[in-house]
Amino acid sequence: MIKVSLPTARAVENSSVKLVIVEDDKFLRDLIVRKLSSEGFLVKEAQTGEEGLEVLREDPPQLILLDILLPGMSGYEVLEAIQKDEKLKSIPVVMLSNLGQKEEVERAELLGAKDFLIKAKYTPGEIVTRIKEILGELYM
Amino acid sequence: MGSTVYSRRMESTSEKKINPQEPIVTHKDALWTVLFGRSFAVRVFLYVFLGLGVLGFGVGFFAQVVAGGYMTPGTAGLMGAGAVFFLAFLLAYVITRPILALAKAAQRIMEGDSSVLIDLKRRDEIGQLFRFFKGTAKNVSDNHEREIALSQIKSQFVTVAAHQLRTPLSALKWSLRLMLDGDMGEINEKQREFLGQSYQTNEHIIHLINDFLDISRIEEGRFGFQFQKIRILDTIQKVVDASMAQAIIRGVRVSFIKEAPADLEIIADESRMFTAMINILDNAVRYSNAGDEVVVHVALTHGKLEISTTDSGIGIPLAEQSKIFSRFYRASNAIHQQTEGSGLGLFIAKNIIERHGGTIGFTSEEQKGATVFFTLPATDDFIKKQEKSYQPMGEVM
Repeated sequence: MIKVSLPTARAVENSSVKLVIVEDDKFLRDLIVRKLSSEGFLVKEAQTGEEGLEVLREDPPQLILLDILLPGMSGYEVLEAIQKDEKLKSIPVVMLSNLGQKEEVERAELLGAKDFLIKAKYTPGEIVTRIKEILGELYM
Repeated sequence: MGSTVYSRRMESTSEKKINPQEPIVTHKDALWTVLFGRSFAVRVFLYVFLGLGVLGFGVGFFAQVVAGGYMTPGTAGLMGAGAVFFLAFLLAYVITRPILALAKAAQRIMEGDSSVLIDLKRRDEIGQLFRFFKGTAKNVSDNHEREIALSQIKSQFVTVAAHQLRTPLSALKWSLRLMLDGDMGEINEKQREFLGQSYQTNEHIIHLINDFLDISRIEEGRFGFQFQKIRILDTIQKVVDASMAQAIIRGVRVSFIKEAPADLEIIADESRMFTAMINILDNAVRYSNAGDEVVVHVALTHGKLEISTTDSGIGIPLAEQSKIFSRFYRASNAIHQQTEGSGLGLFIAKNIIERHGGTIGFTSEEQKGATVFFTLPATDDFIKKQEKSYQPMGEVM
């Protein structure tokens, strides 16, 4: 559906890159998934931390986008679970949340998060740019 | 920490002294009003009476022995002096002991210990004083606790409100951005214009909420900074670029004069510094008249970076100039011209600049414009100091 309108070059560039996004707000999730897909990423979605871990273990992606305030398990708990999992712990996790005070950022970094992006501060385009930077640093 | 509390309390005491209140008289009337009963005054009276009696007896005895020749005058004098010393000691002890106890209790309350236990066995004026004191101490500690609870509730409210508001605003931001970027299909110029304005309006609300969050953090003393080496002129250039959208709308020209090396590095929190400078520049642009010019001037003198922003806009009325850095304050002519604005920008800017070891000030004449200038240390020793007190993470806003 979306792939029809996207520029072919970008699609080729990112086509093999798998991402997982854990976000409970459907509207926000739809928007960012739309942007990421149009950039050629293969995106899998999860609404809760528990569901996210399941998706991650099924097919480990190259990068994880993770919200903090989630129903059930919090983003921090998901981070901890990722760090304890031998298969998952090397995957970069980018926090995507509307929290963002010093303590929250510190806590996420301490638990192994690669970066912390505040939703209200970053546009989908800027989030994509940051994801590409991180992927570039790690896999290129 | 104890010393800070102490000096603050001392200031408040001296403030009270200026207050022209009737002083409480403690050295009069007591003996006349309370001659009998279980009274401190009576007890002092009895001690003094007893003392005088003993002294009189001593003097009489001394006179008799001198006449009788039983004792040398020296020995008798020594005995008398001994008796007076003993009495004086007793008196001093009896009078000062409760006062010292009270002083000790007061000191502990001053140091922040609100759970001072005071022995209330005494039934005299001292006991009464202790009871009043205990009541006062309780009021102070109740008020203090209420203050802490209130500020906690307030900051929780601000935080929750900010975060709950940010989520729908993020959704708006993202969807408007996706439409503007053509991710939702082609849009025409008219649509782009309105979507662009919607996006700016939404950005304004987000900015306002971020300001509220910052203010609440400043008040709590939890406004985090992330200091690192930055190329300050690049940061200022970003600020100038960011002000362009508003400048174009208002028909204002922004120029940037650099009299400092382009690669100059200082230790600063870039995102905070950006906030401080955009707040200053945004004011200059916002309160300029169409066709005016705003000049940002940066110079390096004596290890200090001096940054000034000059406009020829509405200026600040003389009578209101002292309030310009207080929070929620907006000059009357500014409100008259534009209803939009929170009055938080310069308060936040001042806080950020001072945390960087800088100073901020301004000159202004109504209807002629204003210059807001601030300094930032660019010396090695400041850099070393900042590196020492390096805070690993600041709020990433």
